[in-house]
Amino acid sequence: MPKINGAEIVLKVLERNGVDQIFGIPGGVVLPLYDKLYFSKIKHHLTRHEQGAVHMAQGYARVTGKVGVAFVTSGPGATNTVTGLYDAKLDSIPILVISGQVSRPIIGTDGFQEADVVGITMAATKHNDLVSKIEDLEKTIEQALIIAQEGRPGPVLIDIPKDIFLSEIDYPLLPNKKVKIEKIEVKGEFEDAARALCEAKKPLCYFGGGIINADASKELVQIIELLNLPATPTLMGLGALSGKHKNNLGMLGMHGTFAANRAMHETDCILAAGVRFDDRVTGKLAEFAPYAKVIHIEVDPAEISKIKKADWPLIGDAKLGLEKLTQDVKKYLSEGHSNRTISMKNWWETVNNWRDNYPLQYEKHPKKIKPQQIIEECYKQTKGNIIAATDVGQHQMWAAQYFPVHEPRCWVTSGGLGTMGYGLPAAIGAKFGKPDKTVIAFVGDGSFQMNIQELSSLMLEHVNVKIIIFNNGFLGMVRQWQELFFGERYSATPLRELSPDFVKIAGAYKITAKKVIDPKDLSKAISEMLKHKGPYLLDVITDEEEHVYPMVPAGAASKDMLLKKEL
Amino acid sequence: MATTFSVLVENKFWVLARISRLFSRHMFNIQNLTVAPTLDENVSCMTIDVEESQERLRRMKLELKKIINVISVNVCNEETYVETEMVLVKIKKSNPNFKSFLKEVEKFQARVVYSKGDIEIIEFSGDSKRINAFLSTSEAHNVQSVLRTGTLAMPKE
Repeated sequence: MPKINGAEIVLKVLERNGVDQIFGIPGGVVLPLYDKLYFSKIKHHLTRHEQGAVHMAQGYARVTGKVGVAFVTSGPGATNTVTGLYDAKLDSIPILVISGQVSRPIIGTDGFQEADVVGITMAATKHNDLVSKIEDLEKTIEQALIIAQEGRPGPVLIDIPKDIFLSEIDYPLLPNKKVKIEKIEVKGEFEDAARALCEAKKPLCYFGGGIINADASKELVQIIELLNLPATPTLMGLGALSGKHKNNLGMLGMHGTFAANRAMHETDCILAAGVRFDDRVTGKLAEFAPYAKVIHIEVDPAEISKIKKADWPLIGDAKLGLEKLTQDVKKYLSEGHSNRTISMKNWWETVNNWRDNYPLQYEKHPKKIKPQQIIEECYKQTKGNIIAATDVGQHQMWAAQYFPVHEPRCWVTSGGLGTMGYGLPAAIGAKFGKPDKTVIAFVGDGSFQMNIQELSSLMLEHVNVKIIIFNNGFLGMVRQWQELFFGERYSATPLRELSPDFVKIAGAYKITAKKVIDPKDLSKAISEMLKHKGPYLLDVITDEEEHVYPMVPAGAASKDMLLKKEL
Repeated sequence: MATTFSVLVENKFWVLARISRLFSRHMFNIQNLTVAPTLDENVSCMTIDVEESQERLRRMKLELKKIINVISVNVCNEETYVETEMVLVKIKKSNPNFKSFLKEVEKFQARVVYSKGDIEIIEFSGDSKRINAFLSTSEAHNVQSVLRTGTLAMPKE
C-alpha cells in the first residue's frame, strides 16, 4: 500500500466523496495542503476573507445540496470563519471547514498564528475536532462529511496541525469509496396524526428549511394538494412550495403576510414540517396559534416541544415523514372519513378574504424608486427563473415578500443568525454550484460593505453574478425600528455621506456598473444588467422612508400586525 | 433537589469541555461532576448533578444526545440507580470538639485515613442523605475543611 502525506489524504477523501470545488485562502500552516491542491482536480476558489469563503461554501451547499468545503489557515484564518460557521449552524447548512493548526509541539505555547480553534468554534459548529494523530485523519475527514449531512445538517470544522499534513501513512485505510448518508427513520403516531389532520376544520401547513434539506418538496406538495391545505413557509422554507402555488399564503412571521399570520392565529391544527418555531415566526409565544394542535415532523428531536408543544411528535427525516403521513391520510380518507368539504370551503373562504382584503402592498412614487419595485421588476423580467441571494435587512424581507421563489434551492439567505455580509459571497458560491442559473444578489448598502472585498473574487474568475444594491443611505431595518420605537432618533444609522461611490468601486474591480435614481429608468437598467455577459452591479437609490410592512412589533402577538405606516 | 445525569462519552480530550459548555450555554449550573474511564478505556462515565425544572432537564437530555462524542444519556433516580458520594474531612486534634467528633465518626462508620501531628483526615461515603448528615455534623464540630467527590451513580440492572 502506498504511503502518502496528511495533506494528500485530506484531498483524496474529499475527492472520493465528490467534492469538486473548495473555497479558501492559503497561509503558513496550510502550505502543505495547498501544495497538494496544486496537483488535485478539485477546483479552488480564492476568496479575500475567510468569512467570504465560508459564506461561499454555504451558498454552494444551499443550491447543490452537497457539502460546501472551505480551507483556511490557523489563527486569524480560522477565527474569521466563526460567523459563517454559526450562520450555517442556525440554518442547518452542511459545510466542512478544514483549518490548519500549528504543529503539535507548538500547540499551547502561544505560537505564531496559534489559536484555540476547536475551543472557539465549539459553539458555532455541529461538531469539531482536532486531529491529534495521522492514523485518525482519514476517518476523521470521512466522519466529518457524514456528520455535516446526516440527520439535521450543519457545519463541521476539522483542525489539522501542520506536522500531520506532512506525516506519511498508508492510504487508504478505509474503503476507497463515497460515504453513504442514511436517512433518519421516522417514528411517531402517524395514523392518529393523519386522523387529526383530516378531522381539522382549519388546518394549516407550516414548513421550513428542513423540507429543502430533506429534498422533500414533492412530498410536501403532495400532502398540501391532497388535503387542499393552506400553507405558509418560513424564510428558510421559501421555494419548498412554489411561491405561485395557489395554496401558498406567503411567508409568515414578523414580516409575513396578513393571511399567513391570521391563518396561524385561527388554525385548529398545524402540520409543521421541517421547522423550529423561531421567535421571528411566533412573535409573542403565549398568543401564538392559541387554538392549534400541533403535528410536528422534525429530524432533530431536540426541536420537538422546544418552543411549541407538539401533540403528535413525528421524529425523523421530513421526506420519509411526509410520505408516511400522506399514506396514512389516504388510508383514513379511503375508510370513508372524507367529509371535509364544508369545513374546508368555509376555511378557504376566510383565508381568501384575508388574502383579498390585506394583500402585500406599497405605493409607487413618481420620483423615488420603491425597493419593492426592484424585486417585482426582477421577477417580471426573469420570470422568476433565477437563484435569488440576499443579504440581511429590509431588502431581504422585501425579496422574501415580493419574489415568489418557484423551486427549492433557488433562495439563498441568512435566516437564523441574520448575518449582514452574507449576500455577495453566498451568491458567488451559488453561482459556482449552479453555473447555468442566473444569480442575483440583492444587497443593502450597509450589508454589502460587510464583505465587499469579495468583488475581487468576482473579478478574478469573471463570475456572472448580478448585484443589486438597495441603496437607501441607511442601515434601513435599524432605521425602521428607530423611527417606530425610538422616537425617530437615527443613532448611527445614516450611511449616505459615509458610503463610497459603488459604481466607482465596481469599476476599480473591472465590474460593469450603473446607478439608477429615477423610477422610469429602472426597468431598462435591470434589463441591461440581465443581458450583460459577466458580473454587473446595479446601484439603485431607493426611498429611505419606505418601511417593511406588514410588521409584527417585537414581543407582540402575530395577529397584531402593523399593516402600514401611520401618518 | 438535584437531578443526576449519567452520561457515557468517548474518552478523549475536548469532550469534558463540550459537555460542560452545553450546560453553561443553557444557563445550568453544574453542582457536582465526576468523570472517569469505565472498564472500556475508550469510554468515560460522567456523572453530573444539576438543579433544574423537569422541562429543562428533558430538553438538556435531548441536547446532550446531539453531541457527537456522547454515547448515551440517562437521568438517574433512586429506583433504578445506586447513588453514592465520598467526602474527606480534615480536623485538628487540638479542636475542642475533636473527641466528640470522633464519636460521630464511629457512629457514621466513617474511617480515619490519615493521622499525624495535629491533623486527622476522615473518609466517609454514602448516599446524599447520609453525606448531608455527616457534613452538617462536621460543620457543627467546626472542622478545618471538607472535600467532596461528587455523585457516582450506577444502574442497578
